[in-house]
Amino acid sequence: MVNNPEHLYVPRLVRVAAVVDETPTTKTFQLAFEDGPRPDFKCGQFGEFGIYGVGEATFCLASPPSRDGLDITVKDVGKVTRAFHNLNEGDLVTFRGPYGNWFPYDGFKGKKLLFIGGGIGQAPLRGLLWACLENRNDFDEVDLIYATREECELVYERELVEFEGRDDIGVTLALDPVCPGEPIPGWRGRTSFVPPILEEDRPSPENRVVITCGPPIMIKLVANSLLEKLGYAPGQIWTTLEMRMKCGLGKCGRCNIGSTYVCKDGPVFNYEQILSFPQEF
Amino acid sequence: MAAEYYRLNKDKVGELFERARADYDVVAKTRDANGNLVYGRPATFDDVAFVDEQPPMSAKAFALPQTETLVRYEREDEKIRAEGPEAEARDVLLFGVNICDAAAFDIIDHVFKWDYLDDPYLGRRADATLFALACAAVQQDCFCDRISYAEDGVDTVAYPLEGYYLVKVQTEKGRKLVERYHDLFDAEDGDAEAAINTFREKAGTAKKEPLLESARAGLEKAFEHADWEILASTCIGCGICTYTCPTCHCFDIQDEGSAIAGRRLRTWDHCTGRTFTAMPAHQPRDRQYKRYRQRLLHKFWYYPERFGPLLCTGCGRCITYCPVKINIKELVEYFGGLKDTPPGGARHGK
Repeated sequence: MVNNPEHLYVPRLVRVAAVVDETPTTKTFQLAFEDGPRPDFKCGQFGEFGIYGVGEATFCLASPPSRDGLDITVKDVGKVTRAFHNLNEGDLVTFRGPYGNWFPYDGFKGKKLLFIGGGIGQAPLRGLLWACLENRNDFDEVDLIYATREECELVYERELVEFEGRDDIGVTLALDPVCPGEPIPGWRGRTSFVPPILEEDRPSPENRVVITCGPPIMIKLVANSLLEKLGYAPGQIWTTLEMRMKCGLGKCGRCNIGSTYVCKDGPVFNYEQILSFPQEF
Repeated sequence: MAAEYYRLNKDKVGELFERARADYDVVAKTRDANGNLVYGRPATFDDVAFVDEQPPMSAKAFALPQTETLVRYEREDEKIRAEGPEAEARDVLLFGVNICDAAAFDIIDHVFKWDYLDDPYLGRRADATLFALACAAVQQDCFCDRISYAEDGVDTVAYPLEGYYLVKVQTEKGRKLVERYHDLFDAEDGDAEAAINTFREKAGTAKKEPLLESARAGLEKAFEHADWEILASTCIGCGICTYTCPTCHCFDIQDEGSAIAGRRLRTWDHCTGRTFTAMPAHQPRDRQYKRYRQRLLHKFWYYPERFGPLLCTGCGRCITYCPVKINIKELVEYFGGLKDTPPGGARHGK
């Protein structure tokens, strides 16, 4: 059992230190803790963030724990996220967390890492990716495949440019093919869904783990491709699941898949676990 | 603790009720202004309804209110003040509550006390003493005889026998209650368990095979059964089954108020509703039968897999109040492989 803070559901207040426009619909908020030290967290965990009078929503912690404060990346898709998009520097938001489990960072050491992000699904990978790059010598090859529908939907564009200039991380950017096989004029990356890229480049399963997050359909197709076409074992694939949550504490029943509480047993899962769930999704 | 047995003469129940009101916030079955049976606060002993019938709403609200404040907030200039609710120190006595409602608390305690401790729920739970009254006859739609839920967490159970109640005391809270009013209780010297068994056989509440626990192995194989779509798609997602249910505990967290002042609150919610899992770009349970299936499997597979007991006490309210007459017991029997033929008859529109 976990020792509770004084009131389990009373959040801390954190201040918006900076707002970064990522895409026309996505912003990153850098949050600062002023009422005490920032809680320790691990890559892959999430929090319940809110605005009083509007409500709470679940966001992954999108920055590495080594940095001050924490970042969340928010796509404007609903009531709470819209209110976040209207925030300015200096505003106060509520925070409960960190909640959930995390990526097995130490277990990844010495291995080749292949990150596969899709759309806003790059956010849960970002903290881990940076943590690995900060300790680059702990890992063998590090590669990133990042796919979005359109070029304007790439989040963390400045960081992608930085990665492209480094020689210790391989970067493949991809956009949804409007016309399969046709390159998009002026686009520096590939024009393809992710599975054909995997099947063309064939990253070998030897000593490699794949860490992926994106739309459920992408995760499923990527996993199928890795398992069936490239010879990966389910245990080599890690993902983080998005389910609607309210409490984040294993109580409210909303994020359940079978007897699994995504908020407590996840959000990070090995694909072996995912295959054992009732095939609800 | 080992169970203890006492006799409470029926002519002393009124005195017990009145004296308990000095020490407890006494809740009992009574009629509201419209004549509806409720768990409420009877003005006098004469207003207590001694009936087997269950109120439409279970007793769960005394530990998990339909709405409760989690945080109050107020903005002053550049500052926001926020605090949790004051602890309510209040001993509640649930007097004459049905066993199916009383036993439900022990079942849902599991989810509120694993890992993080849910203080608001557990605080009220710790302050509540259960004085259950056994039914003399099974009620419409109920099936407690088919579920082996533990009753040993119910503080006291009173069995109405000829001229007196046989009171079985099962917890320290129950013992405290009897000790407080010890002059009203007499020692029971006879074979109390034999008397209880005889009473339950006669009432129809003795356990009958096959128990619904035995359906789980079948349910684990039936997730993709084609008949879910046929048998569960009549569900209209109204949620009445979950609101009346003594064990449904899923909740929502919402803000009420403005940016200046208001509260963050917890309210009951239900998995049969379309918005329960809907996300902006993704709806995992995109058909109504999938949402109904979630409710049934949560109760008869997922919850027992995680915590032990079935998430059901067989009270039957979800059958009684379902506007489209879905019968959970029959569906568990069918999908769990206890019966070969799907439920039919009027309840399924045959």
